[in-house]
Amino acid sequence: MDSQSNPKTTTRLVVLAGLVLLWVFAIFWRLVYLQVVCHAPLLRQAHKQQYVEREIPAQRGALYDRTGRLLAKTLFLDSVSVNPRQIPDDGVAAQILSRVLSLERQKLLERIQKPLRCPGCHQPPESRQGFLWVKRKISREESEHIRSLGPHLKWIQVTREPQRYYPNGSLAAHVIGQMGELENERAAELKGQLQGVVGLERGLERELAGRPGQVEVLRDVKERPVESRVTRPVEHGASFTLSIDAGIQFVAERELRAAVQAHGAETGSVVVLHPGTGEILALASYPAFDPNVPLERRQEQHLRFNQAFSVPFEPGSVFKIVTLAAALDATDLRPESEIFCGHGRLNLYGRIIREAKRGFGRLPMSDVLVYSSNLGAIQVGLKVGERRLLEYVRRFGFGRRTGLPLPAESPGTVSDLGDWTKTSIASVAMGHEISTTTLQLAQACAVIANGGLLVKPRLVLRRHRPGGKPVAEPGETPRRVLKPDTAILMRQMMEGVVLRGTGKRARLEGYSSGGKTGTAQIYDPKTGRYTGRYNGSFVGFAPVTNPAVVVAVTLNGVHEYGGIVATPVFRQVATEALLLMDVPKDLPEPLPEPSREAVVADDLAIAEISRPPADLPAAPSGAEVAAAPPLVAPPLLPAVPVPAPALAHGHRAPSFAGKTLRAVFEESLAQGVPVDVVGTGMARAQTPPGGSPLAPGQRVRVEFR
Amino acid sequence: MATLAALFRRFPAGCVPAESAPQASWEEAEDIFRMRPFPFEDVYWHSKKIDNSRVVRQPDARTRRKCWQAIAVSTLAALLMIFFSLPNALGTIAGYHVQGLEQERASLLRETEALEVEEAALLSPQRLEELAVEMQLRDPAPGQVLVLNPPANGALALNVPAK
Repeated sequence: MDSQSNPKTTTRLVVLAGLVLLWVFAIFWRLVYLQVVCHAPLLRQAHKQQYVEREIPAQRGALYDRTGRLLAKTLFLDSVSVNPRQIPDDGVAAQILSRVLSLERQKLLERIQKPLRCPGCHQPPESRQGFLWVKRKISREESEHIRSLGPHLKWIQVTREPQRYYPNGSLAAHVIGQMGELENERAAELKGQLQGVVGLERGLERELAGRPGQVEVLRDVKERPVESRVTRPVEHGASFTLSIDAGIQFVAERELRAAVQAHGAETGSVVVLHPGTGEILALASYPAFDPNVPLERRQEQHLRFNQAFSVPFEPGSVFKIVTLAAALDATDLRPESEIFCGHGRLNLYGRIIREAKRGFGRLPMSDVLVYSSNLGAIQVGLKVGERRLLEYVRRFGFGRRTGLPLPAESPGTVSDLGDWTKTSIASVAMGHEISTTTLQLAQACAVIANGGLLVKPRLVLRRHRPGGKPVAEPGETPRRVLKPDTAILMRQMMEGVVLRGTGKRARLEGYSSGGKTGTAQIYDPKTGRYTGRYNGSFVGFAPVTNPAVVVAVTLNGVHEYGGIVATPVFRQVATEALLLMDVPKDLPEPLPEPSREAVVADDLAIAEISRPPADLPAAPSGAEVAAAPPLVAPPLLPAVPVPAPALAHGHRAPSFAGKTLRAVFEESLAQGVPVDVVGTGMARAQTPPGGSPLAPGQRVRVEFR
Repeated sequence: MATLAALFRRFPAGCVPAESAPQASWEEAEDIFRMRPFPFEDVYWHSKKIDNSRVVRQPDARTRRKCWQAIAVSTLAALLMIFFSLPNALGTIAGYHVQGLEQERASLLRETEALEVEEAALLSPQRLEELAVEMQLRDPAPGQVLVLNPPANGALALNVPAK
């Protein structure tokens, strides 16, 4: 190229370079504009497009029994919904969904095409509702099928909904409770949300429910999640281990149901608890319900009533354990003290009080309990006095809620002294003019069984936080109600009820037991009179020497005595409970032949003299009291000693289980326990069993095989 | 004819305007390399065999160095771009993997919970009772249960079989 063409070329190159630079500069400026000037709004837009906020549902806590058996748990199930406005072809959509979800195609099509504001007339798609549930809480197979369709059919929405399961059906339903929609002022703001409505589901709602969290998910162009960031951590609900034993609960419900149906009772309840710790091992109520089935009708709401602690009743003769315990603890009366029970009639401030069947004459105080003498109980109550008797009634926990985390607990009714009439002490001593719940009766019996301490009943043993260690629920410090020896004497007296008295049907095989029967007339508020139907009760414990269980049974609206209707339930439930708890037997098996004498189960507490339970009329006027003939109560005769049952001298039979002959002999010599050996090999059986109290000189029979 | 030269009609020094340029004589000496022209066209193709076998490229060390430098810089730039963008890419791939694992974990947890509920239902006391009745099982009679290996604490006592 010659020198004359160079400037031309150079100029051209310069121009070209200038244009290129201009272009580069334009691109650069656009980059600066987008990435600096418009940084914030574009970032927000990108964030909005790429990130989606999702709620992390809180897992509702589960409930377990004391052995770890699952009682209640929430699972998340898929629910299918569509937007009818976005469906491209109604017929095809109905066809697909009806086939996958096993629905009727025509009905589904009608629901999809249903207009929003003009029912019954055909409207264009724009006037349809924007949301329609197709099927809620579908099965796993249906869920997998629908999710496989999801990426291809954008108008199908799948959301997860919680479903509470109670795998044991109606077992412990009144304790566990049920989920439902609340029917109060909060229902509007919580519409559609299920909450606990009865039982522990409601009592522990706050701890069980937890709090949902929120997570931000980064999605790619195909809406696949790339990463996630928790913006608010979820608080899952706490799980609880209850004191309920599912095995004992099942037996209690089964026996209660059988007894109610056999004796034509209206309702019934059973409470089993551990006297030392207050742990409720079983709490059964009849009629029962299945919490898996939603309540359909308002008329079925009565099924949810927990008869054991929501429905108080007049306890009747079973309450005499409180009267006699107060007498032993606060007066100089002893089990052998003679009580004049009259000849079946007592004139108390002008009111005539009778025994249920016959007069007992003079009875040791222990037999007042054994034969459930009404007049004897009144005499004892008079000896205790109104103020002290009321004090002991309250000490035993009556008139006060136990504080369980269950809604609708009734405290029962205990009138103040100011509301008492002259005859109230007689009524209260027999278990009338006072209302209690079955749970309170069990609690009171536990006072006697554990040596005199009022232990608060417990339902919750442990609390489990997700990711944390289980934390034991603290119990309250027991309060002393009776002296220890008073409790021991009461146990012996109550054993007499089972051995000789109205509670013979409560005898257990292999275990000693004690208790008290009760038969209280039911008051009819409509007629203002007591009816011929009874509340039959039995409250007892086993074994006598070291009670491991307390069982309280109540059948309401029966026509027979508590000693007939309630004692068999106690027998079955207590036996099963003791076996499940591996409690050592303290009596040999099989039982000796039952005595031929008829079972006297007559323990009816006459209620005619009592005032209606809910109505407390004014006390008689002074003129009425002055006109009444004076009470003539003969003085107590000198006490006639009644031999107490033989107590062990503190010596107990050693356990020879699985030992060789030589080892058995060596141990028997060391402990000074004579043995009778049968057979060879290893020790397989012994009488009495290991741990049982031994009388002086009593031999232990050991069988070897 | 439209050419760039015609477009940027610059006339270098010494360049004579076309009007003043002597008319080209069409009667030129015969060009042995000129081929037959296209019909009605004044575009001539010339075919000339040029023997450049004697032309030897001289090695240019400076250009070679610059060339290798350009290659090195480009490679380095590419490696730097890969180095700085690789963690992001790997993170995205790992994110897919993690999200997939989390979904799988959640799915397995749900399945475990469903199985736990199913197991509890199968082991419910009511169902066991019904099965026992179906199989005609009965509660053992007193004395039928003999514990051969009682707990070490002696909690379970031994029964005496009925005679």
